[in-house]
Amino acid sequence: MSNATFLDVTRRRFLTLASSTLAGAVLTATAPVLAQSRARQATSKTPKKDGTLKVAIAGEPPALDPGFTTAGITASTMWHVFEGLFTRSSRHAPIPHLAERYEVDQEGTRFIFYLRKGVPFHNDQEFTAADAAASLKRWGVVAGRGRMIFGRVDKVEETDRYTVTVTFKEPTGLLPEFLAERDAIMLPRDIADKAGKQRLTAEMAIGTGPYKLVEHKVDRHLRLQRWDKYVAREEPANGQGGKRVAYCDEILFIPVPEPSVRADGVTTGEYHFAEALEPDQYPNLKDSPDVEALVVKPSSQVGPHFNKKQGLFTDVRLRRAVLHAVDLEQIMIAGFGRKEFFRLGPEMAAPETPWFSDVGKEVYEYNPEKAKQLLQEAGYKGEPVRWLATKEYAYMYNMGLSFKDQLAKVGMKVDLQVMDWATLVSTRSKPEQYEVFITGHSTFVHPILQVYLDSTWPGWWASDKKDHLVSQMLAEPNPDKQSTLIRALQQLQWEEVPWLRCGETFNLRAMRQEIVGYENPPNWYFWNCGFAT
Amino acid sequence: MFAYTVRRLVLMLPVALVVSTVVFLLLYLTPGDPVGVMLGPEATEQQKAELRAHLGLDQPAPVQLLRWYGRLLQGDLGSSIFLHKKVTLALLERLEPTLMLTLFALLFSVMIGLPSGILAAKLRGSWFDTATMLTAITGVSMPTFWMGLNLI
Repeated sequence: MSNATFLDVTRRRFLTLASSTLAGAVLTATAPVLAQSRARQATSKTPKKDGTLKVAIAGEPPALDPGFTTAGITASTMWHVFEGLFTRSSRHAPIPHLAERYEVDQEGTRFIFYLRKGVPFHNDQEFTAADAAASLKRWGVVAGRGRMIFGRVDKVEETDRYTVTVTFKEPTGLLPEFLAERDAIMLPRDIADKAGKQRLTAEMAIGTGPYKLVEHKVDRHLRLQRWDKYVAREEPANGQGGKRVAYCDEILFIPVPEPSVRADGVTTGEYHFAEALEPDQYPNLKDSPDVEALVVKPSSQVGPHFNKKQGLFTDVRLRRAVLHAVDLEQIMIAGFGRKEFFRLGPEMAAPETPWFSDVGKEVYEYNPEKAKQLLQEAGYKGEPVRWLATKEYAYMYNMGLSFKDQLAKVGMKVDLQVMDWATLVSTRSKPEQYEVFITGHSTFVHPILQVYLDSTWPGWWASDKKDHLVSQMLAEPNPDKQSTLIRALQQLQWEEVPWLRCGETFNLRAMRQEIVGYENPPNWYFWNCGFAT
Repeated sequence: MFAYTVRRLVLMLPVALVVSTVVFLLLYLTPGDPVGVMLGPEATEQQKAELRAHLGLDQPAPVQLLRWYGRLLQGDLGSSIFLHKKVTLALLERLEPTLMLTLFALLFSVMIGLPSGILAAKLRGSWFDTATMLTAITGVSMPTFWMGLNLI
């Protein structure tokens, strides 16, 4: 999402009005030219091997090491440089990438990874089992998910030059799900050993990816260059996996914090691509000549998290009362404005993924009478609900306002506390200071990767049933049994209501039409795409 | 002259001390958590605590400040988190362009300003005097960033 404040109305309205008037005039004048240029572009689909792609990103990456930070912008820029043993298919399921293939025993306690041969790092060394073992061990100490997995690991061994074996103390069949995440990067052994827990510096950013890092100027740009010795997989491209081809000579990632500046930059041709735009920029972008407005599906699910450690919402009846008291469609409209930008549903993972299920849809019901009854049963006497909100992510504040109105109708008093995002993040870790905060989570990952399943994460969902399901899931290598467990977890989520998943919202991006081959996945990447010939 | 220079230099010390303390306090009192920003939204509490300890951010404010002064006396300004390098090094890198800019600006202003000033004084009341005055006043009153944009 963006950092723009919602109450920036006057300026935004003015800009919208001004730019649409202008766009109207330009459109009328240039319509015949436009039709021609669109027709020309439609004929060329394979990009040429040339050009510098300029991408406007929402902020400066806080580090260049996706193992060190969980910031999305670090992973999204640097996965052109670093690759993992696994990546994800067009259905978002894990598929081998630097691993040629793998074997796992029946119990899910021993994994053997057979690596691809002849893959060079950006320093010309060949990627071997020694590098893979060292990188896995580093991932196990530096990354949050890596630590979780390595708590179960017995040993990591290089069986031969191209084979690595990971043995677990307890069944961990779900390992590929974790290795397909963008933090599980493969580094040369000496760098992995030297970095350890510390973050990688720009000089240490040596991967096997289709692009290499050539320059990082803080707050100015991150410059990547095509790695001409890149060895791609032979299978055709499949989602992020399969054959990767670098068409552009260079990619420039330019931090541009203001969403309207990113969007205007694409319209004027200063940038070729912009991420994380505002829904209200959609109509203008759609009407702009030579620009494509891209709605990203799946994207992220949003909703309020309840403080379950202390205070009012330790009582599950009150959490259920909130669920029934509000019309979620109204809440989502308040948050995202346009219906093109959200969908409702009870799922933990989007319909485009293998983990989708509609279990819980019967609980997902607007029923104010039931809410009032639950409030009465729980003995609620009008105590104020301290609700944390920020205008930096406009939807959090706007949804909060809508919740406040609707909850007032069943007699619940919301004290909307508006603060800056950084304060909100530190406040939400203090159980004595609030009842509710809103945030978002990806919908295109295996549900086990959801951060709120960790009982130490703000909101503190401590539940034996949940912990039991999570450990069963972690152990299970069989996809059918996985689906059963996911359905059970989703059911539990709607029974215990640790948070109220309001719905899924879609991201907006803009791209110049001269770029071809781009797939618009939830996490963008720029291999297999480039400038039209 | 020598005594004056020494006095000025000695007087600079308390000023530097006050300024650095105020800047430190401003940064310290600003809400937000640098560790949270560095590690991203999904970092675990344990990871955050470890990084906080590594950076010394778990210490009370006076300890943090005194430690910084201690290192400052040894000529160590610490490391820039964003630039991944020593602060002294980062400052030195910026020194060359800064000096170039200031020296050239000085050179130009002296080269143009001094002769035109002398000439204007000599031809007091003439059109040249008025034009020089007008240019100088415009230059002084216009914000530098605006002037710069117009000169590009």
